[in-house]
Amino acid sequence: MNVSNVVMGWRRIRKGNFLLGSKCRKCSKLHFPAARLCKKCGSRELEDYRFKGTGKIYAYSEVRTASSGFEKHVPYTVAIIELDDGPKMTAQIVESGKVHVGMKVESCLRKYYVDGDSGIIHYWIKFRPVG
Amino acid sequence: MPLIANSLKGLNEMEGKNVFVIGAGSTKFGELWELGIRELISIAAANAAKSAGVGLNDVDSVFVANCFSGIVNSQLNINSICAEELGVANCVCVGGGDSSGAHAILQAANSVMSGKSRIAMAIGVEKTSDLSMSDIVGAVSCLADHEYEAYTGATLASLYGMITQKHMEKYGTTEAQIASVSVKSHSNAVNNEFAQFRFNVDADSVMKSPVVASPVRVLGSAAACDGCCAIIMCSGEAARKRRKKARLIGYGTGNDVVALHGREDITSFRALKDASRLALQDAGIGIQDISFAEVYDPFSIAEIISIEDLGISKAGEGGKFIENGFADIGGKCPINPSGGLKGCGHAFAANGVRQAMEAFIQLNGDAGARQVKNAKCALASCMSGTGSDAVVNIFSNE
Repeated sequence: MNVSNVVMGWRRIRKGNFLLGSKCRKCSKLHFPAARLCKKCGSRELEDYRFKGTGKIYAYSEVRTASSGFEKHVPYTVAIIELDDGPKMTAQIVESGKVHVGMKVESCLRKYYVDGDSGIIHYWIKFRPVG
Repeated sequence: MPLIANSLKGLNEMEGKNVFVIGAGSTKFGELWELGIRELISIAAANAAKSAGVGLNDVDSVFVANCFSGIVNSQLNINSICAEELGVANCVCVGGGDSSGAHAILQAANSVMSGKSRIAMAIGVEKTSDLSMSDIVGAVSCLADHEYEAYTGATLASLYGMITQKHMEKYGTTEAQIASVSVKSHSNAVNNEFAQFRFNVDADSVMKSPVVASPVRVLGSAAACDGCCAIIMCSGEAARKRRKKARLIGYGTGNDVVALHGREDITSFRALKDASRLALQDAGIGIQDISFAEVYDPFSIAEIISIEDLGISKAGEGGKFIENGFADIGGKCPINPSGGLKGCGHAFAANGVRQAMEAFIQLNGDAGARQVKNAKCALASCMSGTGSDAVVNIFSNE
């Protein structure tokens, strides 16, 4: 199976910015992931919004017993990130020593897991400490 | 749009509102290597029918709840499996998360109240022990938002870990209070013949048990297991001459966004608050009228927050409530006299029905060593995932 097209596609999306959500034209509410219906005012008029990709850790947990596909990575840290633009999202924290609530982080593209020995490598956003 | 608490008609607004549980039966909960999903259904249904003194051929409809058979047992179409095993033609599968057992009870109750069924059965079945630990963890994490939570390697334990962290940060809930949940649950389960973990644990060993996902520990988590539980329901008229019965006097449901990160506050469950408000309103009682509660405790913090959200304690004081012994059998308001998910084992879709069975047993004074004294009114609250869906059922023996 030739997976390079899939991976190239992901990289291209990254160039356009992976953290693409939406903004309500009526009430300015920001959504991540992108919404089709504003969760605040119910409007259907939403436009694409690129998140800056910076934020701080709202809560975190260090995983020691992982789901299938993630066993080799333990221990790893998952966190809820409060983006500077507003919404919160869940992602892994990398390139970090001790993690703490309120820690400033920025997004980066990283490998999440691999589908078997010759399958697709799944990439997505992780966060690392700023500076 | 914001999720709005439903405006379904309550039991008290419906014609023929009297609906009773007249029998309950179960398999043992645990790693039941020798039993498949069919056997589990057959055993629990036969036990429930025997308890109610009816034959399976008297049952007009069956509402069967199940979460994981598609993933674990490669078996869909559970309603047909159920029909084949029980010989009942009208079987409906109630899918969804781990609160689906409680939803099945509502469907059975509705079927009775509408007059469609004279006798209806709600049954919850789960068979998870055929999977390896990591596959179980993966399957269970599908109860959260798969695309935006589980995909990142977040397990259900880690999501409850974050809830725990926030609760500790906001209210000062301690590790010792969290451990007291497991100590109490295990102690109650000792006297429950259906429970998987019939042994005591002390707080020290809970606090020293390995971390699953910080700060959640092994002995603060409910273990996935196999189990099946069934109850038989009928109308007030049909139940009149029966000695053993419990009336469903109120129910409520609630919802929240699936992903934890989509919620304003993760130290309380909005779905549960909505469901319990509606259920109490429906029953026309206050939380102080409850003799005991069976709550959802896949991880200890869920039980602590449930106590707060149901209004049994003030917000932030659920941990203290358990630590002080108020949740013990014989305490102010016993919580999980059955042993809960932690003591009985976590059989997902079977939980909601197992809670109703505990209500039936307790309200008829048949709970033996774990009997709650003067039990008149029981509240059962069940949730899915990290609290995206909640069902509260209230039963009475009056």
